[in-house]
Amino acid sequence: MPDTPNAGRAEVAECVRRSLHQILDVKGRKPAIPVPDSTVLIGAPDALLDSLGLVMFLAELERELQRRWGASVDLFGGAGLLDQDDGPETLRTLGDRILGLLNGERGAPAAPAGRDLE
Amino acid sequence: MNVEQLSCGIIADFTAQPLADLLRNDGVYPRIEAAPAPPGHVSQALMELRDGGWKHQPDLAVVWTRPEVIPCFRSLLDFEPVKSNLLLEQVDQFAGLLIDASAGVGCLFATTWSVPWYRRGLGLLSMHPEFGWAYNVARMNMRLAERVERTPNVYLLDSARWLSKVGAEANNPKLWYAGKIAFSLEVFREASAEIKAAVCGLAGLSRKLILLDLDDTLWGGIVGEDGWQNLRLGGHDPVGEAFLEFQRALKALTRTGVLIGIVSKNDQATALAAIDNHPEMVLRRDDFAGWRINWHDKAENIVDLVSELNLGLDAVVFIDDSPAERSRVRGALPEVAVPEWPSDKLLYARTLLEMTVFDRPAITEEDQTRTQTYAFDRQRRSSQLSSQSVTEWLAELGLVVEAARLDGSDVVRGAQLLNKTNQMNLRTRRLTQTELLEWSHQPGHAVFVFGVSDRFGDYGLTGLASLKGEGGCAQIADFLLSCRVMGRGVESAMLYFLIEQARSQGFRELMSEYKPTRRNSPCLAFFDSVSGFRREGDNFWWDTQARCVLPEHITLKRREVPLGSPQYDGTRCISAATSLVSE
Repeated sequence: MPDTPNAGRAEVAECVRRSLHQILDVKGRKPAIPVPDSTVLIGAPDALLDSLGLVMFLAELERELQRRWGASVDLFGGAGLLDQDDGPETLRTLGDRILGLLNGERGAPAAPAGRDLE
Repeated sequence: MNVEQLSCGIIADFTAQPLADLLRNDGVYPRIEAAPAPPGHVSQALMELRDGGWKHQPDLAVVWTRPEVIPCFRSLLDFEPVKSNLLLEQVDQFAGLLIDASAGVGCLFATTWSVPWYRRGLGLLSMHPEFGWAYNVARMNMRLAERVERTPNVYLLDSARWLSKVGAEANNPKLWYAGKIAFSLEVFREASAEIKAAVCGLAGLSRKLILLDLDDTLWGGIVGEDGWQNLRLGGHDPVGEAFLEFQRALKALTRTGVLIGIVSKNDQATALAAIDNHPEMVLRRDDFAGWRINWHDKAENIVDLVSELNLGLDAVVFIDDSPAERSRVRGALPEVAVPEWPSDKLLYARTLLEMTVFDRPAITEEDQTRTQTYAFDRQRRSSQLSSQSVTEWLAELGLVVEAARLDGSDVVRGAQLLNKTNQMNLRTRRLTQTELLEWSHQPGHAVFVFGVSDRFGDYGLTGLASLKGEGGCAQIADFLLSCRVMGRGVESAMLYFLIEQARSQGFRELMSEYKPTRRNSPCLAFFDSVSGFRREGDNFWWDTQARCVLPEHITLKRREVPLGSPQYDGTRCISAATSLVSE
């Protein structure tokens, strides 16, 4: 895992939102701005993304993270996001996963749980 | 093809939903309602398209496949021995499916095949005739192009360019394994932009005129201060070379039918001296359809020059290195396309070459000589000044109008006229080449084309009109004339010819229905000006037994076309020279 000491919640949240908006724009969907942290991305009937949208979103997000931190973050295999049996994934929980990956603690949030991604 | 309400079916051997989404939502004109067929069933989807078996038959189709769709190429990827002729036979079969399917849609875009950058083909072997992946993909593409060339509504799009522009990120294995998505979003964006540019080109919406600033746009430096001898153009100088390359790119565009003109704040004599005398100028005075070189407002100059050239503002691209001038023109003339222009002169040619607004489906003889006809026009205007009256001037022109039934050799130009003519256009019906030919094949339908020349030169094929017989009445289905020859009596000669045709076919009346658009009021003014027409609302009626007079200054000739249905000959974009029979 790369050394990314400056990866903070706010920056990760910005990356996630930017990638999400890219995909939703392509889909012709205009979500609320800013998208709330509690928004369910996948794993629930009212999730924002379908399976194809999720794949495109993860690819876009990987690129975004690479651009921002120069880090090759594996969101497909490493984060297990494609396995939707794990239950709903929100913007907040996804941010936590990414922080964990960037900071070398797979799956573990780098900031106290429950704080919003702002 | 109604560009405002286009539907598109996408057939691909991968998940093409992102392309469908972008065609609908990328914000680029026109919005296209697209839906992909289920991935993987390319042959079946093509056959269903041919048979009209889609739930909603689309206006156009996009067929985007990877080279693996050809089974022999799949074997080549495994370095299995493949017979060369079998590979080409399979390409022929695929081309046959495309051609058959194209009968079910207005037009069909197929992408060429590309090998992803990471498939190196063992480097040294990549261009090997037997094993080379790059070699065989090139052959397959050539073969495909040859096979579909004669089908007028099938167009190949160069997918390699999209991949090349996006670079290493064009292919993402994760997208493929997780979603069977063969390309990244950026490649789909490129494809969507290209498809839309092609649609606009087919619909006659491409831009026709580039208006250029001079100083630091066409050459480096300020001619009024530096003198033409000291301009940066050519020579052993990167900036001079870049300007030379930019001029070459402009010159090349003029050979495709795009006109160029000058709108510059300068002293006219000084600027023209540079154009005439600088040894490295690629563009000379006769390459420009017109110019306004003075100290007036550029927006006003554009309106003035465009009016002189009989074009609409929506045909214009304005290129200027000055952000202030660009902003002024953008604000004053929103119809004019004003591209953001790089401050780096070395990027000028690339910026021009990247533009999609000049896309067109064919280059006709008229396109290749269009700039020349405008040079002739300058001579005509100057002869008009020396004539005593317009009547005398028209008589001196020696106008000849040649009428003929549309045949295969004229269909490319005929469709181009249908789709590009706005002002002298009775009903502004837009048809593809195939649709035009099909319409002309219908019983009771006849399509005529009109060539015009005078003592200064040949305008080429500039008019088209069609008749549709119903009962005792012949209806004018199309009546259109290029703006280059409007107002010289050619439209009267065309009408004379149509009345004569209707009479000879036994029709008692000739009817025309004017369909107003934002641009075609000159056509209404013409029909209103013809005495002998009975007008009811937007309909005009003519008793074919009534006397109709051909303008005295025009000689009408008829080009004889062999009897039989017109056939498309895709190899001939240039009008045929056929025997002429004088009236």
